[in-house]
Amino acid sequence: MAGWQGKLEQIDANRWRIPRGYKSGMRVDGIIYADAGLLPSIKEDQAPEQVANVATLPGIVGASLAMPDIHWGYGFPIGGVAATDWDQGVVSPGGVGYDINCGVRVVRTNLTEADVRPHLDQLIGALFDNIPSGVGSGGKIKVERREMEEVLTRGAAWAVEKGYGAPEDLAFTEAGGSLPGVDPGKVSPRAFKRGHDQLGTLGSGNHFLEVQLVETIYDPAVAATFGLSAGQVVVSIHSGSRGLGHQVCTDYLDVMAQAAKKYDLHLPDRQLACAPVNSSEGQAYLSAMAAAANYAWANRQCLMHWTRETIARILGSTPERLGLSLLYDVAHNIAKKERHTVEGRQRVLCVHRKGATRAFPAGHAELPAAYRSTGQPVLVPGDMGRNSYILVGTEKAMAETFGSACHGAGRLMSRSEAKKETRGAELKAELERRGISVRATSNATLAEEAPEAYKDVNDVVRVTDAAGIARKVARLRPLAVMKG
Amino acid sequence: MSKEGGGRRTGSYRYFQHTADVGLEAQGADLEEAFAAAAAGLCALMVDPATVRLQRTWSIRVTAPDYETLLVRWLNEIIYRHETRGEVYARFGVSLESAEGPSDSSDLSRMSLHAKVSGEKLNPTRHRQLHEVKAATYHGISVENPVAGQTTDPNGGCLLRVVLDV
Repeated sequence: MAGWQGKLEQIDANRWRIPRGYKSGMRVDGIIYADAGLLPSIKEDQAPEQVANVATLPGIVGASLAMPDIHWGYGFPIGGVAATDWDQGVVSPGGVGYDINCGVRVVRTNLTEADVRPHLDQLIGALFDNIPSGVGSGGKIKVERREMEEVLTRGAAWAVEKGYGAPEDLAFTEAGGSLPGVDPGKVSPRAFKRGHDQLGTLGSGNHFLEVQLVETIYDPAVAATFGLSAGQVVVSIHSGSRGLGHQVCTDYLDVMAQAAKKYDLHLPDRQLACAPVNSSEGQAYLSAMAAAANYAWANRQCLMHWTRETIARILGSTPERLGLSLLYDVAHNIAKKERHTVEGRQRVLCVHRKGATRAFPAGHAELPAAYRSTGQPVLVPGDMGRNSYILVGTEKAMAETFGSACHGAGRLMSRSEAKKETRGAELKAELERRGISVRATSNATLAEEAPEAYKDVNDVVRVTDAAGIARKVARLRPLAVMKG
Repeated sequence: MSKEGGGRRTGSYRYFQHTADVGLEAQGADLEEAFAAAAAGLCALMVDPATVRLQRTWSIRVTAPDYETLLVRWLNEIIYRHETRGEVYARFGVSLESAEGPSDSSDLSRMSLHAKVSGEKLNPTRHRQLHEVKAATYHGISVENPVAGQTTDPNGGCLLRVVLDV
């Protein structure tokens, strides 16, 4: 497909505007965060058109935003942020995506590379054996309907109560690991069925677990508050709500297609189907979405628990002695009810983050006490061969992006292109030559997730930091990678 | 990477580039062939069809107010059955019916699809599993049917395009 040829006006070195007049129906401008270096790859596909399409959503406030890792999605672009008025606006399941509350958590250790290097291959092998992953993976946890309702209602707190982790983990999870307002009856029997044996599974595709090294510290004071120092080993876990979340999105796209007719909403792409936030359809979706989000938080909590157990076993110690504590957990596919100041006025908004991370600043009431003085950790995983980052939220994000920043590197190549360019076995050998241990259920998945398939996360973070919507705290590099 | 659909009918499918997901284009002499080919294209993303034996046949019925929704529901039904029942398919026979009269969006089951799908239960030691497909999406979906006076298919047949979230 030809690249995007639409109208783009430069605002400053890191922001570009798609003016409201570009396309009929746009209610606000589109704003893309990119510099001159990143822009050409963004214009190679139709992601900017999707930014313009999102600007047509009824009740959208401010602008239709795209983070620097923007790429072509379905309906919304991936890397998109859209805030709609809670009373006058719509909620769109496509603005959250199929993998509801796909997100990342980072676990600290008090280990150095020298401590883990001799055990690295054994460690990643044991994690791979102990944590279900890959296509069609079933979990070690099987819960029946009543218990599943508890998972959907209470999220990570359910997991902690069942012994998967400690109560203090919840304080370091976005929203405490549980969104309120869940009615399990709004989740279809089909979604229950798909979620039945997938709790505590990593999944496949771009989901991963990585053992990483803190390579560079940019902000020593914030890093100290986050408990990070150069040379320290950490573990990142990236997963979501599995089949349960996928089915909730599928179910509610059907509901929204009918609702869009009922409320006479005209949309440029069917995948943007939506309903007023304050309609029965909108409220039902938000309830089911919250249930799926809670499932995802319970899922990542279980995955972290087994990660801690496995590291302790391989190193012959305990999670406590190894300092295996949760730094933070963020959702990057979600819609949240939040208060923001828009043009000097406090408003209640429905903030859709589709491949974007919340980046709240110092002083925000939703942050754990430990991070109240710094702002929240913004966890940005990169590809398996380059870097990942830990950033911190800023006031500027609050002013410009409804407290949001990038969520990763952003894809550059389709899966089939990536497979043409790379062979999984060769990639594994190359990473291992560079001292990165790799375990994957399939070489094909490995090839599809090759570093070359992604933008360089260093470019994405450079723009994010320069634009001021999150600030660099630490850069990580992979020591060992597990792919589903 | 055009491939034969593998069914009794002779539709075909190919994948087109989409940055984050997989585009699927299915072609057939009529809509029934094209819907069967789309299912074959979806299933070939999930499990290598060369490893699937035709041991059992199941019936599937889906309804929808229009062909685009019917296509999405048909593919999502296959994803659901694959994920929850471990069924893998390699052959598809599709028949379509649509209610007479003018289109009325309030008739939610105006279009119906009846399918006979053949394959077997998933056997992880024998089947090569490829991708977890999350869903068929409505993004850029199109159903081109020459009977309705529109197609870009050079052979004058039916052409379906759908993006799958993988």
